[in-house]
Amino acid sequence: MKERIFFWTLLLAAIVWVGLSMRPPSKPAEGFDFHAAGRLPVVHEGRVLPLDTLARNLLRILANEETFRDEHNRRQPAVRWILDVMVDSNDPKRRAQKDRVFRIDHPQLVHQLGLPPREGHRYALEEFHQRIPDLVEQMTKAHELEVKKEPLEAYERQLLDFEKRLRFFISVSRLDLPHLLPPKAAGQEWERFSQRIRHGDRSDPDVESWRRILGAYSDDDPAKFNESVAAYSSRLSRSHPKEIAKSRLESWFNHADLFRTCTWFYLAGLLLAVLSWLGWSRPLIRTSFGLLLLAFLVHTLALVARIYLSGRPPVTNLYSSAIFIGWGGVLLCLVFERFYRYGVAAAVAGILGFGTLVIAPILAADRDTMAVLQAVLDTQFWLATHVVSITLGYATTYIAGFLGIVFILRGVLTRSLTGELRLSLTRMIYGSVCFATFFSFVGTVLGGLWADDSWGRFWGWDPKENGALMIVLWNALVLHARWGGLIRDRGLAVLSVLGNIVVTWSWFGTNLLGVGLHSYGFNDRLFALVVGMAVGNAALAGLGLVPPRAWKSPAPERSRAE
Amino acid sequence: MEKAPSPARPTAALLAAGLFVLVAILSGPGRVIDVVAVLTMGVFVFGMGVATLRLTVALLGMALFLVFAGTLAQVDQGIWTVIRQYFRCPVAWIEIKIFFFPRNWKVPGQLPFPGGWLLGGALLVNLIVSHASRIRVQARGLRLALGGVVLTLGGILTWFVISRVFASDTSGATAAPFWRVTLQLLHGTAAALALFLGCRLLFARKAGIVLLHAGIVLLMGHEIVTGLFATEAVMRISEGQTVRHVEDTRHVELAIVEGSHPEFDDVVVVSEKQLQQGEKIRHPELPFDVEPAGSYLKNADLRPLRSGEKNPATAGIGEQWRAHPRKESGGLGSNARIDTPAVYLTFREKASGESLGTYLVALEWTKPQVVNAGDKKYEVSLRFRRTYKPYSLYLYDFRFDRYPGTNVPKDFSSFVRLTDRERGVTRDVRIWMNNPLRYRGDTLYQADWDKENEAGTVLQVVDNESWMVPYAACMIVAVGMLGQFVLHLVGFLKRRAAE
Repeated sequence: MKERIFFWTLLLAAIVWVGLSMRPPSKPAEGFDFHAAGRLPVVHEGRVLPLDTLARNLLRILANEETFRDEHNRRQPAVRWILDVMVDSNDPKRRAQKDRVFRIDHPQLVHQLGLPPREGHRYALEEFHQRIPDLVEQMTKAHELEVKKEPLEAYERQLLDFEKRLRFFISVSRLDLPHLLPPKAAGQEWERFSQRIRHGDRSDPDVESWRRILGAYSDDDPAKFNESVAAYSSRLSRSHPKEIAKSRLESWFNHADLFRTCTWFYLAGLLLAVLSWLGWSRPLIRTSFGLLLLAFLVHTLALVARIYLSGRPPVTNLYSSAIFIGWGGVLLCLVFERFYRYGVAAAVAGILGFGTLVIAPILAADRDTMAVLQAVLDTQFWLATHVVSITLGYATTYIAGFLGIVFILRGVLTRSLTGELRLSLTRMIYGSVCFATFFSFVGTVLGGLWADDSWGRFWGWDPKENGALMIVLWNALVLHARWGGLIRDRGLAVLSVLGNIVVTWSWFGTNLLGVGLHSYGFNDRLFALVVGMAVGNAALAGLGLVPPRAWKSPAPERSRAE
Repeated sequence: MEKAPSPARPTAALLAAGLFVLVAILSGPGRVIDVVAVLTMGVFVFGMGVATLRLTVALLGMALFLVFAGTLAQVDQGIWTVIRQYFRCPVAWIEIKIFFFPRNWKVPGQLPFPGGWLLGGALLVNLIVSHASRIRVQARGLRLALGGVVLTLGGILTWFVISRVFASDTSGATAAPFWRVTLQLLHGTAAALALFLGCRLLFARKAGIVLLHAGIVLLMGHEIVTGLFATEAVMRISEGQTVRHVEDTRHVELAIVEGSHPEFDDVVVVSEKQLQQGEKIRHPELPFDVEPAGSYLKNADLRPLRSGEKNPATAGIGEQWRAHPRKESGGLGSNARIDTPAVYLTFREKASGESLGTYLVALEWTKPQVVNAGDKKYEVSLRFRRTYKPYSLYLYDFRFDRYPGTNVPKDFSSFVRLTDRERGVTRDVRIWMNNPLRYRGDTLYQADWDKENEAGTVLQVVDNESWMVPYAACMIVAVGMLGQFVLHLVGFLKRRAAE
C-alpha cells in the first residue's frame, strides 16, 4: 500500500507539472502583452520564425541566456529586449541602453571598458559605449590577424566576438534585422523594414502596422500596443495563415520549454534508479520507470514538434543530434528495463536523457537550432535514413558504455554485482553492442551512398566518415573479442566503457579538426567536453582493470561466466 | 570457443612486428620496405593464427588506429595526400606530430605502420580462411540441393543488381532522389533476401554470419577496385558552349595545336612526365623539336619581370613575366589549392636545329601562345590533362538558388543537352545537387560553378563502373546482421518464456 501511494503521488505530481508547463501563456491584465508580440512571424537567415525565437537566439549570442535583467535587475523576457532595441532611436527612455545584455567576462576587456566587476558579467550599453572608440584600433588589428589566419590570443578572440555582438545590436536597432515585412504577393520574398521604407510607397499596410506597434511601444502606451499587435496579427492570419500558425506554435514551443521538463524528469528517474540499488528497490524502480516513461513521452512530443516546425528530419545539426541520441538511447534503455527490472537500464536511461539534453545547448553554439542547411546536406531522404541510423549507433554505443560503467562501479565498489544481476548486465551490454554495430554500420554505409549519390564518391575518408567507421570497427572489435573468448564479462564492460571515447570522438570530436564537409563548427567548451569524456572514461576503464580479487563483488565461478 | 594456442607463436608474431618497425625506421620509406612489410604481415598473420579471432581483433584494432591517424593528418594535409599516404599504400608513415595539439609544436619523426592495402588484405585473408575452416555446411540431401540452387540464384541476382540490369542508364537525373535511392536499395534487398534464404538452408544458425561477412568482402573489394581503377575528372562548360572532354585537375599536359585545316585541328599532346624528364621531345607530326630549358616547375609563381633580371625566355609572354618555384600545395583537399605548373621550352627546327624561340608556358595562362614554323602557326599551351568522351554536353543555363534573404545555397542546377552521335542520342537533362546524370559508365555530378558570373558550370565526372556494389553490399550486410540478431532474439525469447 505504501508502495502504491509513493508511486502514484510522484507520478501524478509529475503529470500535473507537465500539464502546467504546457499551458499557453495568459494575457496580462495590464501592461504590454509580450507573448502576443513574440508570436508575430518574421524572417531571419531564410527561415520564418516567431519574433520570440529570434529574440532568444540573439540574446543567447549577446548574453548567453534566453532572458535578461533590466536596469532594476529584474528578469525580463527576450521579446522585451528586442522591442527595446527596435525602438532605440526614438525611445525617450532609452531602455535598450539600460538593458544588461552584454556578457563581458574577459578581465582585460572588462578593464578596458572601465566596467565594475559584477556577478553574472552582464553589462548595459550605457555603461561602456563611451569607451568603444578606444577599442576600434585593437579590433582592426585582430581582424587583420584573423584574415591572415594567424592564431589569435583569447583576448583578441573575445574582442572580435564583442564586435560581432555590437553589430547585431546595431542591425536590430536600424531595423535591418530581421526581415519584418511579409511578401506583398506570392513568389516574392520577405523584406527588411529599412528596405521597403527606402523603395516602397508609404501607405504600405504592413509598414503602417509595424509603425503603430513600435510607436506605441516607444510612447509607453500598453493599451495601444496590445491593440496594434492584435490587429496586425489578425490581418496576417488572413493573408499569411501558414506562417502565423507555425510561428504561434513555435512561440508556444519556446514558452513550454518541454526539453527542460524532460531534463528534470530524467534526473529524477536517474536518482530514484540509483537509490533503488540501496534498498526498497521495487517501488523505487517502478516510480523511476514511470517518470522516465513520462519524460520520454514529453521528449517524443517535443521532437515531433521540432520536426513539424522545421519541416525536416529529426537530425540536422549537432544540437538536434544530441536530442535525438538522448531519445533513441532512452527508448532502448526502457525496453531493456522492461526485460531486466534491476533499475540499471533505467539509470542509464536517466544518464543519457539528462546528459544529452544538458550538452545539447553547448553543441548549439549560439546558433539557430532550426536553421536552414547547406545544399548538399539538405536532402530529406538521406537525413532521414543516414543521420538517424548513425545517431542511433551513437546512442546504442553510449548505452553499452554506461552499462559498462555501472558494471565496473558496482563491481569494484559494492558487493551487489552478483548472480542474476551480473549476468543480465552482461547480456544488456552485449545486446547494445550488437545493436550499435548494426546501426552504425548501416548508417555509415548509407552515408557513403549519400556521398556517392551527391558527388560520385562512395568513400572519401572525410573525418566524419572516418569517425563513423571507427565506431563500426570498435564495435566489431568488441564482438569478435567476446566471440573469440579473449574477454569475458569484465572485459566486455571495460571495452564498452572505452567505446564511449570512440563515440564522443566521432560525434563531435571530429568537428574540432575544422576540416571536411561535415564540420559544423568549433567551440572551446566542446573541446573541454571531448577531453573530459576521454579522460573520465579512460579512468573508469582503468578501474575496471583492477584484478578481480580486489573487487568487492566476488568474481563468479568460471563456468558461470562462460 | 577456440582451443588455447601455445603462447610461443603470438610472441613470435609480435617480435616480428617490432623488428619490422625498427628496420623500417632505420631504412626509411621505399620499395624494399614495402616488400619487407608484406612479408612481416605474413609472419604476423601466421603467428597469430590465420583463422583465429585473436588475429581479427588485432587487425581491427590496428585499422582503428590507422583511421584515427588518417583523420588527424587531414588537419595539415589535403585529403588526396592522406589517402595516398595512409590508406592506399602498403606502409603508412604516420607523422608523430599529428597527435599533438596545438599544431605549432613541430614534433619530428614518423612511425611506420601497416597501411590500408596491407591491413585490408590481412583482414580479407583472415575473414575468408576462418570462414572456410570453421563454417560447415549443415544441410544434407534435398535441403543441400535446394540451398545450393537458391544461393546460386541469389548470386546471379546480386550480379544483375551490381551490373545495373534493372536500372536504366540516365536514371540519375530523371527520378526524384528519394525514389531512385529507395529503388536501388530495394534491388539490393531483394538480392540479399535470396542470398539469406540460401545461407539459411545451407548454414542453418550461422546463415547471418556468413552472409554479412560476404557483404563485407564485397564492400572491401569495391574499395580496392575504386582505389585502383576509378578516375575522377571535371567538365567545365560555359553557358552556350559545347564540351566533350573532361579535365584531370591533378595532371597537366602540353598541347600543340595546328589549326590551318578548316574541318579539324591537328593536336599533339606531351605528358607531364615527359616534360619532367627534361629530355628533347620529337614527334613526326611536328616540324620542330621541343626542348625543356631549365627544370619543370611543379608549382610556379608568376611575377612581372624586373629590369635587369636574367630571363631564359626570348619570345611570347615570357618576355614580360618570370616564373619562380613555389612550394607544392597539399593535393586536392577540401581546403587545398591546385598546383599551377610552368616550364620554359625551346622550340628548334628539326632540319637546321635553329631555335624558334624559348617560351614560358604556364597553366595560369589559358590563352595559347603562337610558335611560327615555316608557313604554319602552332598554338602552344599548358592545360589540365584532357580525356575525350564519346558524348558531348551543351549548357543552356546554370541556375543558383539561395534561401530567401541569405547567401546559403539552396540548389544549383545545370540545364544541358546530351548528344551522343555514336548511339544517336540527343536529350535535354537537368543535373542538380544529389541528382547526377549517369551515362555510359560515367556519373556526372553538379560540383561547382563559375564564381565570377554564375554563367558556367563545373561537373564532376566519375568513371566508376562498380558504383552499385555498395548499394547491394549494404543490404547484404544489413540483412545478414538483422537475420542473425533475429535468430538470436527468437532463441532468447524462447528461453525466457521457458523460464
